[in-house]
Amino acid sequence: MDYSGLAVPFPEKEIFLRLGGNIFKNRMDEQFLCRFRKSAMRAFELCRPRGRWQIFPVSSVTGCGMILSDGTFIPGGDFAGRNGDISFLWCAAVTVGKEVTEARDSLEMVSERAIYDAVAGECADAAMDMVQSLAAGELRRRNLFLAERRFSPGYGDMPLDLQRFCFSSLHLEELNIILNDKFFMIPEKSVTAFAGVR
Amino acid sequence: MTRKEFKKYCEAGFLVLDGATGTELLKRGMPGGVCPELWVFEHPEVICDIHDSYISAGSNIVYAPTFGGNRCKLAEFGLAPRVAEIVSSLASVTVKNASGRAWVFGDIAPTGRFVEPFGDLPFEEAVAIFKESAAALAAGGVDGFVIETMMDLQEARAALIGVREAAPELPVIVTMTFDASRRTLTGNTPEAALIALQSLGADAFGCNCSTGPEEMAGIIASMRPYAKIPLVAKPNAGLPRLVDGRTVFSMSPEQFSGCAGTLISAGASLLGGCCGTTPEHIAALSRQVKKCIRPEKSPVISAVVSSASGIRQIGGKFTVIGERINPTGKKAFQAQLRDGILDMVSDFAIQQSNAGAHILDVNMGLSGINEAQMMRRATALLAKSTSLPLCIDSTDPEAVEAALRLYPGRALFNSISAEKDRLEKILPIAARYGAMLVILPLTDAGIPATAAGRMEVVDKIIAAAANYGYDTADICVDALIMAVASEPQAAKTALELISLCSSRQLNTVCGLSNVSFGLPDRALLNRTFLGMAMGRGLSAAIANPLFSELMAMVYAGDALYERDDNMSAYLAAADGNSGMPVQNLSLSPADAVKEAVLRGESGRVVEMVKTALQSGITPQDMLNTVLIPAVKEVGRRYEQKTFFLPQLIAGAEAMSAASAYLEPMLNSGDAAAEAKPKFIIATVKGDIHDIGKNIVAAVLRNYGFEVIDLGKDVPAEVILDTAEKEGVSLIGLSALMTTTMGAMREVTLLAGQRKLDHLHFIVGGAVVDKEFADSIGAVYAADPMDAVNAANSFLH
Repeated sequence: MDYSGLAVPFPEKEIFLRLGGNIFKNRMDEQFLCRFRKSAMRAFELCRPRGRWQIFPVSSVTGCGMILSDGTFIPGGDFAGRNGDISFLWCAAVTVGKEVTEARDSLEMVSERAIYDAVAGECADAAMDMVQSLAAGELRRRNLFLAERRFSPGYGDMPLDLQRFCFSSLHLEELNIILNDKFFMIPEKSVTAFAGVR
Repeated sequence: MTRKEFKKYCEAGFLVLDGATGTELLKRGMPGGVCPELWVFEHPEVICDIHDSYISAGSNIVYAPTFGGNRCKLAEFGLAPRVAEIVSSLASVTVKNASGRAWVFGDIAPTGRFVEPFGDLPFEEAVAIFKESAAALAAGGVDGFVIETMMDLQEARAALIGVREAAPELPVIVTMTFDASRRTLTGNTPEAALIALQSLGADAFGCNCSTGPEEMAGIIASMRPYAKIPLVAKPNAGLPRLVDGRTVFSMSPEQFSGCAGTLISAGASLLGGCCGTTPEHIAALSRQVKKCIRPEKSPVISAVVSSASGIRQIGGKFTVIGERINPTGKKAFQAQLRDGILDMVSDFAIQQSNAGAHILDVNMGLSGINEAQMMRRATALLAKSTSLPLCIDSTDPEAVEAALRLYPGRALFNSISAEKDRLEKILPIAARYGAMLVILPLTDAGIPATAAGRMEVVDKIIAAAANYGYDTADICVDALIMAVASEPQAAKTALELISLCSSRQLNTVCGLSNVSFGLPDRALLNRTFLGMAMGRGLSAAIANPLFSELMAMVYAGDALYERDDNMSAYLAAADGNSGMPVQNLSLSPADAVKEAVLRGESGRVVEMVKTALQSGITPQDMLNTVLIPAVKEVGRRYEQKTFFLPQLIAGAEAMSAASAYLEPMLNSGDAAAEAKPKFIIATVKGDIHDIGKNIVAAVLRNYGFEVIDLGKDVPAEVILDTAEKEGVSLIGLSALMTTTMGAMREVTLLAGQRKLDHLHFIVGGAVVDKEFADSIGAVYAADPMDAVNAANSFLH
């Protein structure tokens, strides 16, 4: 499934928290709040969230990963351990595009760059939440159940080189994403994830 | 069934809807992965069997199996060209089967895409997609429509407009899906969605799927105070869980139906089931519903406007309609609009929202621009950038339609007068989109001189609006305040009109600043008039909320009129959180500089430093007794979490600007600056992320370090060569990914090989932690202040 323009709500609270904000303690005067919101909103307007997902039949699950029906091994003991009974592997990717990070890098003030960076990062996370929620609804119609907990390459014991599988199986070049030799996705505010489907 | 008949049936008693269709199809042999609409098209007997079960169970309305029957969804199966054929056939089969036993409503569900202005599907394209499906359903003979499982208000609006345009006489039920936080996927609240959709012409509104019945009762109850139309509850059979590898829903038919009373008490009058429900659940529900009594009708709050995620009642607390988004008298704004730039629109929105405005007036009237086009763009922008409802302010019918059609909420429209053109051309447009009206007591002959004369005009407009379904609660009378400088009796007449309207429970509004036009001390006159008008019952003012004294008066007025529960808004404002005037502290020049650093005002700090130097402070004292303590205070507040990262960096930037100005004076005078400690910083080889590194560099500079920033993707050799060449002992390394953390180890290992034992490494980055830092002989810094503290600890 492909979502070319995800309507991600402005994740203001998450952006604030990502930047070290503390809702109980933080004090911002009106002027600074205004500046913060203006920067955050400008950055948000430059985000172009889009994403896609696909499910892959799983033939077996072992202690250190799972094997798909085409023989592909997906390493990750923690992920496999929590998804021993799944029928499908859900794989998703989102990106917010390059415009927001390009704008960030062209800014003079580091404080504004930090805000743009946080907005782009949180927008990507919110886009992934949205894709997962949409996928759950779609799969429910097929009598399938998408687990809530998702795992991402590069976190825990799931190696970052799994990005290669996400990239090729989801054809992420169609979302204008590039994977470099260190398995970074470019635009950098792009996220991939796995979850189990029962 | 006509809309009128539907209303009559709803008023007569409860209507029972059907339960889940997808799972029933699977039970009856539909394979997974097929297009359900096509499969049912080829196996019509199956849906007839399912409908028979639901009708026998007591369903009054069953849904045609057309959930995915739109161009976007059918395109996934290569069936887009067959929308009309498949959808009308499914409608016709089910209508024929249910004939005389139940009504069949055509099912319309999401396209799977997001609609403008929040998504990339153009709004008119979305309307056309739904209109095509609705026309096919109507051709198949459905009795009405249900727009269901909507996750975004704007898509629900597009669907409703599409259906209304295809079949204006048939009833439409709209249901949306809300999560546990009572919001849709795109952040719409139940109240905002209800207000927008009932004003747009939905015949019933509610929620489906979402949750189990108990949780859904809370959602229904939250909408009830605003519901002029029947409310719908179509919950899941509890929450899904896994049993033996299969998804099952937790509630039995009896448990499910046991919640009928709760849903009805909450306000629902159309009930059915969604995921996990079966004909047995509906049978039990139907039996239970028959035992229930409809709760007594409570008064409905009609004078309310909404955005996609917020609502505002007019006539409760005093409403301030922010007037700033209007090019009149604003040259810079006019120039931007003529260049097609809308930056100031969002800036004005944010400023006014922060200052406490409740609604934002949007006026794009300017010669030389396409007002309709600009109004549409501004509406789209504001729908995304503020949760405050909008007041669409225009006399151009095209601009009004462009804005109201697109706006994902119920707007206030400013304004309808008794002028022939406005009544004939603009009123029908405002009514089509259900906008709340500001009415202007003005005729083609002009403005009546007396309040009584103006009231007669108000009555004439109310009567005209009633023909379009408006009642007085949907109307706000403009008190039509004129400048007292040219019409001395203007304020008195306006006040009399406010009194007359208040005596008839009509809401009133005024353009506050008109009263003082041409006179000195306008703010005083405006405030005084506002107090007098509030005393007469004025409900709202179009005003500038950036005038903090005016906002303070509004809060005080609400508190004194007992419209502010526990005076909470007044007390919050008085505590300095919003709108109240800040005490005008007379700061010394040095304190003003310190304050500018604390506020991160890098654009103004240099001017303040100049003033302070002129007052006699030496450059060295400025640095040592003002700037350094100020930036330390910024750091302290950051560590105490009263400042967050942008405040820390902005403080550093202000400090940097001030220091740069002072530097030549410090080097040339007696107070020559001490040599700064040097610090090398780099993102390691293989890593291209540098935002964190840049932030740390900016903060370090302002704590007195000379930072040598080597950039990103820097080889270990370059870092160490530079350290040797520059005689630097402090090195900061940054990495974002697990794959590039290893490059940090390479740097410290190479330093060991070169026997550069005097070097101190400070490392940081998203995946780096203390354990890793320890393992490579480095110190971990969790944030910029940690890096500063670590660097200082090595120096001392």
